[in-house]
Amino acid sequence: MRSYFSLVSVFRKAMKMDKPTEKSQKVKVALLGFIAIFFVMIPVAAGCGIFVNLITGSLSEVGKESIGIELILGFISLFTMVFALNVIFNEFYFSNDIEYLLPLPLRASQITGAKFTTAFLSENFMQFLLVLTSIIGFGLAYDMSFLQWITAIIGGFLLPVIPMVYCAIISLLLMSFTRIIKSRDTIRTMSVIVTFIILIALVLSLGSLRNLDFDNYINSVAEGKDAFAAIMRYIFPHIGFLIEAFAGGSVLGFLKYLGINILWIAVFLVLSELLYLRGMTGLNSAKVKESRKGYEKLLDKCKMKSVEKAYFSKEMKMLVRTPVYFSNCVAISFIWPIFLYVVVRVMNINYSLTELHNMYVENNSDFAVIMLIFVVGISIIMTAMNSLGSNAFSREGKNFSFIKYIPVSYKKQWNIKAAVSIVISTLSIYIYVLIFGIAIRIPVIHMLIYFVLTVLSCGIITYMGMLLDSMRPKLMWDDELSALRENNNTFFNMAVSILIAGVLCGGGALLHYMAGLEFVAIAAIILGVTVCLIIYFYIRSMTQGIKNVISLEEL
Amino acid sequence: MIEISNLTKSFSNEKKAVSDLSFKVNDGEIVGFIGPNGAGKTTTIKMMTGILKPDSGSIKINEFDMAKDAFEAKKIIGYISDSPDMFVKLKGIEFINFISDIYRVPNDVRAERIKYFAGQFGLEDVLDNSMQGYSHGMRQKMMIVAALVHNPAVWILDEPLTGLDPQSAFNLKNMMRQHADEGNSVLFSTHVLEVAEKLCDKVIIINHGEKLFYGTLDELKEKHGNNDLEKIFLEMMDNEKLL
Ligand SMILES: Nc1ncnc2c1ncn2[C@@H]1O[C@H](COP(=O)(O)OP(=O)(O)OP(=O)(O)O)[C@@H](O)[C@H]1O
Ligand SMILES: [Mg+2]
Repeated sequence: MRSYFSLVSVFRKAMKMDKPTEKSQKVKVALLGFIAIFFVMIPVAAGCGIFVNLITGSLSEVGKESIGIELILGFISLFTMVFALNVIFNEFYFSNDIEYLLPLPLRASQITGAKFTTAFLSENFMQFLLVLTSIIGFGLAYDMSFLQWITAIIGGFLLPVIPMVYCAIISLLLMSFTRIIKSRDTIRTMSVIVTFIILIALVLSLGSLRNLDFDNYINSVAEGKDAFAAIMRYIFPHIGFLIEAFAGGSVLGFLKYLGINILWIAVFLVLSELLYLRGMTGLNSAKVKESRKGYEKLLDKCKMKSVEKAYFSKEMKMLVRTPVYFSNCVAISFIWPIFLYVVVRVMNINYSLTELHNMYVENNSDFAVIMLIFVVGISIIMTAMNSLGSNAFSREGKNFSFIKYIPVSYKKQWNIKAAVSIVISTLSIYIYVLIFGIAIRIPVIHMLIYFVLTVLSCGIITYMGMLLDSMRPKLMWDDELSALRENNNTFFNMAVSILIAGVLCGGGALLHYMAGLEFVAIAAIILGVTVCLIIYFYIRSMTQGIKNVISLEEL
Repeated sequence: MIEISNLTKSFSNEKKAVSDLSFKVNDGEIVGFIGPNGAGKTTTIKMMTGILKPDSGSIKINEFDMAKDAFEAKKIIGYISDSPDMFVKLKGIEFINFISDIYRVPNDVRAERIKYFAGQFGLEDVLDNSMQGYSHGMRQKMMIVAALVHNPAVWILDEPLTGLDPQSAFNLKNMMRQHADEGNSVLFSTHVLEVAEKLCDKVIIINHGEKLFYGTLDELKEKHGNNDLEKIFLEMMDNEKLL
């Protein structure tokens, strides 16, 4: 037990971000944290709670009050699993400390147990907040006793245990009985594929929900006809026990809930003892092909490129070839239309292309303005989401010093890194805008306006993100995933981005619906604001940002 | 030529990592940088290459002052860092080409130089592979090639021989000798005293960031009345402890 606890504390220390030392930085960090908590976390969590509260209220009339919370908890568990799979695989098999741990006199289950605990403790703040607000939403509509509240909160805290144990067991089994996964890159690629499959399945299942016929849906869930809910009940039986415990006030339910948790943990620990070390063998054998034939040809191809081009393409290669970066920073930018599709399907919007065209070109068109606002909003949000800006320096990790000793000016390096982010982000937004624009024959001048606004919006968030990242990047990491996950700058960047998007889009909408301004006027105003913002962030980057980079000396 | 004057650096903890250090590497000289672990060698080297900013003191690389003309100075430095895991997602050849582009190695000499280095270090067969599959020593060799491919005047090498096989180490030592003989300066840190003894014109020995000795090996031996470099070194460290 002692070794277990000391392992946990060592792992937790390794994950911490360095604390800011200067006073002015402390204030900035505190301010950003405040924005993040009050503009992102609390609204999302509160939305979740209110949703459960409303549903529970309306469902209690038909005596099926717990279905809302059951679905939410199911969703949260499912997403925990999706996210944790990658983390657990990585923690168990591919993190660099493994080679130091294995020779130590530790039991396999102590290592996996400690790694599991670390993953559990670090992953779940936001999840817990969501669970908590959902439970509060439910409790307020349902009127629970004090004891029920306590059960609910303890139970809610433990909710991610079972999904994560599943991940742990899956990784143990896959690693010891198959030879599919040889390096962390394989598992990254696989987990991206799994995530996409689950997303698409969700989208399709939601997409089939035409007309938002809610009563029908609830009935089919209650009767166990809805496939999604049925599967969820099957894989996450503990949710049923938990609800029995706090909604039904059943002590037995709570004991069953604790019991099933303990049981799964026990299974996980026993499997660790049996399989963990076995899965360790045969890892990390990267393919090395030898070829002297191509050697001469290779040399012929060594041609000089401009510094900009060389640096840009190096950045691109690193992004595309590192699966973590590829999935979290590149691929993610391109999936937003999936969510748009869900919205369109659920709201049952069904226009022909000609109708859309007519709506678009009609005088002072609502549709055109909505599209304008949407393009700006999605550009801002997706650029923050892919974190290409807010991770620009953290991604370098131990290679950070390279930036400092090569004879390329900091300004140039900064701008090339920014260009990488702007190109990928713009591409991921505009490619779809372009397809849509061609399909419904949007005037060319509007398409140009969209393009300029997309570039500017992506640029603002990129430079802002880099500015944040240059303040205190996460440079001490030993696998790429922690460079992204343990970097608060991404989170701060997202918070401020939501604020900017809110002001720009909200302002645009107000100007249209309240003041009756037309597309061109609104576009001009947004353009004016974004140009001011980009100039501001560009100048800040080239002055304060460069200073930050120069004074960074953690390596 | 490398000229270091009164260089001082401390990290967040009070203790000075490098303290009032001055020495000079003349053109045509190889200088060995020696000192126990944590003595401040890497810190000094990182200041010379622009990675760290000195608290005080100055660094001159040929005619360029690191504080004013860092950009020009960086162009003529060939630097090998103490950790060879860099950009391992790139193929060997991509890495070398990238570095060559950064340092503006022209087309007419590029292929030739790559070929030369690949031959010296036996890299011909692996250049087309991702560096992820390279062994530690292979990566170290790539770092050497990357540091030298632009034919820099001043070589600053942090433990360049670690992990190299005997043939490659021999070749690198020859290159260093040749480069110095052509009138350039080479500074390298090492823990292997025999290498320092055979290769260096002068050595600088530091501990706790402070200079203990700077001069030729003959001067060192004379001063201590002893011919065994290892004994001298250990004696110096012992004396340090007494102080
Ligand atoms: N980033 C850092 N932050 C704080 N202290 C540091 C940092 N880097 C080095 N130090 C401290 O500076 C001193 C000198 O370290 P340096 O790496 O220069 O030693 P070294 O001579 O290169 O040793 P080695 O032979 O082990 O490579 C040490 O006391 C070390 O603890
Ligand atoms: Mg060192």
